Order: sequence, then C-alpha cells, then structure tokens
Amino acid sequence: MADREEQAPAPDEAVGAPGAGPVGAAALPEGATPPPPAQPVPADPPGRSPADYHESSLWRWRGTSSLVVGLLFAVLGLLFVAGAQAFRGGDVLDNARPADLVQILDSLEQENDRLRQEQLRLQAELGVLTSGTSEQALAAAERRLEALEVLAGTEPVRGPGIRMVIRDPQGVLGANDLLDAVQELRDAGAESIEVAQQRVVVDTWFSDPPEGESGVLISGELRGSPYTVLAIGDPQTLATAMEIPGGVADSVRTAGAQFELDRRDELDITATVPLGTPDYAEPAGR
Amino acid sequence: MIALAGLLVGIIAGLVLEPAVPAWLQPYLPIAIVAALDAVVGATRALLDGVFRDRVFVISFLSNVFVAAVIVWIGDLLGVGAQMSTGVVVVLTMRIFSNAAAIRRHLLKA
Repeated sequence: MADREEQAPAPDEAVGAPGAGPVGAAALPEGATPPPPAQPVPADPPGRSPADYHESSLWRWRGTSSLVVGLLFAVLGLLFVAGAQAFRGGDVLDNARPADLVQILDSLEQENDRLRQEQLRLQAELGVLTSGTSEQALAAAERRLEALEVLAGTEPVRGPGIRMVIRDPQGVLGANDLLDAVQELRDAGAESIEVAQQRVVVDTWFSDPPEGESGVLISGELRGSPYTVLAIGDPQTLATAMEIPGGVADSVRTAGAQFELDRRDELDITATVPLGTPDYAEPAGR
Repeated sequence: MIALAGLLVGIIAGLVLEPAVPAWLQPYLPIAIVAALDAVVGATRALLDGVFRDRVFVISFLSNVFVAAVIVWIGDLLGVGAQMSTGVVVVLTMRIFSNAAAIRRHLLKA
C-alpha cells in the first residue's frame, strides 16, 4: 500500500505549477534519492524551492490571493462546525436520506410485527394460565395444602376445642394413659392435638421413661406432671368422650391423679413440628 | 499562518453564529468537508514540494467540493446516495492518506 501511495500521481495542485522544474522533482517518488547534480535538472525558480514556502500566500500576506485562500480556510472551519453541530444537535433521522428512512421504517415494521406476534402468543398463554379450570385447580391445591399443614402439624392452628390438665404428683400415670387419652380424642374427631407442649402428629410416640425417672417420654422428650392436653374439635363431643364412665377421666382419677377439663370456643395450638423428608417411603402413584 | 488564521476565524464564526444547515444540504455536508480536507492536504503537500499555487488551490478546493456533492446528488437521484457518499468518502480519504504520507516524508524525512 505504501508503494502505491508513493507512486500515486502528484495532486493537481502540484501539476498546475508552471516552470516544469519543481514538477519533475515532485513527480519523483518520495524518499527516493534526488537525481545527481550531473543530470540536467532545471534550477528552481526563486521563491519556489521547498525551503521557501514561507513566501507563499498560504504563509505570508500576499494581498488578494491570501484573502481568498484565508477565506476558503474559513469556509472549511465553518463547514466543520456546522457539520459537527448538525450531526450532534439533530436526531439521526433528521439527516437521513429518504431511502435510508424507508429502510429504517421497514425494519421497524418487521420488528413491530414480530413483537405483536409474541404479544399474541403470550396473551394466549396468560389466558390458559388464568382460565377457570386452572384457577379452580389452584384453589383446590391451596385447600389441600391447608389440610395437610394441619395434619402434619407444621403450622399453628386455632379453633374450638377442649383443654385438659392432668396433675400426677405421685407419678402413677404412664405413657399408656396419655396414649389412651390421645386415642380417645382422635376417636372423638379431634383434628389437632397438643400434649405437654408437643404437637401430636402421625409419627408422635409415647413411652415410659428409663428406670428411676418419672414422667413420660413424648417423641423422645421427657415431660412431667402436670400434663396439659389441648385438642381442637367439637368441644361437646370431645368433652363427652373424655368423661364417659370408664373413659380417660375415670381411669386417671381412679389411678390417683387429678383431671381437669374445660371447653373453649377458641383454642390456640402453637406447637409445631418440622416437616421431615421421608428416607424410604415415596408416593407409589406417580 | 494565513491558513491557520482563516481556519480559526471560520471555527469561531461557526461557534458564534451557529449556522443552521438547511435540511436538503445536510447529506452533502460531510462530503463537502472531506472534499475540502482533501484539497487542503493536497495544498499542504504542494507547499512542501514548493509548487503551491494559490489559484490552483482555490479552484481545486471549490471543484472538489462541487464534484463530490454532485456525485452524491446523482447517487441520491438514482437511489444509491448512501453508497455513493461512502464511495466518495473512501476515495477522498485514500487521497488524503497518500498526500499525508508525502507530507510526513517531507517533515519527518521518514
């Protein structure tokens, strides 16, 4: 590329110079050694040698020609500023040609079409997602979730029920008595049970404590008297079930402990259990 | 000196007056600037070669701008204005580069 530059014809400014001498010199490729003095090279006219460009009208004031040249440079500066400002100040669209504008418009319309189709697709999807059937399915799932939360004991529950306090200062009661009470409560339709601050769920177990200790082990935790039992369900049914002859209340009192029961219109069971992940069992219906 | 003074005057005038370029002229403005730059760089090379002629410079300046604008205008008429102005800019820029290379050799001897 550099070679081509060097061999490029001298610009027309150079060609226009009369006298032929400097033209010959300028036509040489730059960087080439100048022709030896022996060659018949016309002498540079005075004021035209490369060193004397200070004398030109570009450099020194030479009347009208300097005025015109200066004026042209002023025009160039003006053009620069105007061009830069036109480019910076205006929107790109202001300067665009009609053909370019048509192209821009075309691509924008294509983009618009594409986006409109996407909008339609997404709206259809939204319609499917919010349509009646799936809303009902969602509500059903939420009801199911609430029921399972109550059953699994992961959430505090509130409702009508009974509150029993069993005082056993002599330690005559065992795990069987509490288990009987729980079974009786379940039989009477208790929906949520708490025994001695322990939520009774599907994997709760009762056991007598090791030798020498009094109380009851509930799911591995030792609890002593008094045992507070909370049960949510129909208070009337639950109370009747507890106090039938030969029932829980009877056997506790017979054994020598005290039994209190009162019905509540509103009862809070705040004890919860964490939800564990089963290691072995998995749903077989999937 | 005259050239620099003129350039300065023009830039200051442009900044002060903030000339509004008519819309129909705007596509030609960059072309005109590049064409004028080509004339200026060519004139600088001629100056260093010792063959600068103000008459030639003035005429080449004006004709460069005119021809470049006419080419782009014809391109616009034919519907290839964008390509045409690209072509003009490429050609003029190549000329500017080759002239700048000559100037560089003059000034830096390299």
